[in-house]
Amino acid sequence: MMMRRVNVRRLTLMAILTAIALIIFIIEAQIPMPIPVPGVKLGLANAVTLFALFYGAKVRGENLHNGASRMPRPINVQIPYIKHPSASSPSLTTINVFTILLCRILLGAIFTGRPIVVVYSLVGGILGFVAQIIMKRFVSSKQIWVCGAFGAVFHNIGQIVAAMVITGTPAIIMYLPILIIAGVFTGVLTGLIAQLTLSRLFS
Amino acid sequence: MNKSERTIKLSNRFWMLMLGVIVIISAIIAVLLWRVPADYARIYHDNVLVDVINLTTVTERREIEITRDNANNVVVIEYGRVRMECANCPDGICVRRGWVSGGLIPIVCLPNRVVIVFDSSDNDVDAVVG
Ligand SMILES: [Zn+2]
Repeated sequence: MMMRRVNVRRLTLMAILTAIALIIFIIEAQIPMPIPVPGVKLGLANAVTLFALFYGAKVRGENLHNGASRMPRPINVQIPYIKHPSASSPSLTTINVFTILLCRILLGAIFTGRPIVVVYSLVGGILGFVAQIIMKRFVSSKQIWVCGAFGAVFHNIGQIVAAMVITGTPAIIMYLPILIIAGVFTGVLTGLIAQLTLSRLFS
Repeated sequence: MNKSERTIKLSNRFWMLMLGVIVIISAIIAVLLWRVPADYARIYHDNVLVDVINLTTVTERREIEITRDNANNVVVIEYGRVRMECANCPDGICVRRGWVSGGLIPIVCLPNRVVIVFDSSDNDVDAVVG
């Protein structure tokens, strides 16, 4: 009866999230980090990925391990499709969030203008994403900071492995302990940003 | 809501403890790596060995310039220590690392693919050079 068509609301939401992540990524690339360790950065763009992952679950009323499968009660009454989730609500699937991440990485590499960056970002980004998908099963929507920490740690592990392969120097693995520590702290920060934003949206 | 929250097996305390243990173990490994004496420095560009230096036998300051494939890095060697003096990489992380006089953590310039690896002995150095 109905033709399969593009959900414009979902597409718009994905485009907005990609744009926000891209802006954060580009601004962050301009800020030098205080520690001279390759690969260490705040990774604030990941807050958008975390937001999108948990937003989709919230809209679908998914069980987030805390047994609370209630409908979201957003503050913003201006957006009716968020207030009353239905079949046409822009709930984001894992594939949707992954698409946002890929678009941000590819566009980010174009805007920051170094093709080799895309290799590090892709390997780190995909590994971090998989870690966050797995961790999402074990945390509640009040523990997104845990998800962020593991995501950042595995992002850094991915980047180290990419660097080892690209430079052909296994000794780069010596940076791993420092990158794990940095990942825990930056990941908790970005996770908290996503968590607080979501809790404001779904009060 | 409260009832369901009580059923959470993995509490905030559990996760804090887990992340704390991960940080502490990583910190211990980092300190151990930091404390290993580094007598030999090997400079690689694009996975090709450029130079091997026994830092314990260096008598005067020496500069090693790497200019190949858009990379332009200057490595300075002194007795017992090495630093990246300047580099045309965009991030400048290698230069900001400063003097390195010990530990197994290499000086890395990822954009220019220049790596300075440290070793406490001259294992397989002869094999590479000879
Ligand atoms: Zn450099």
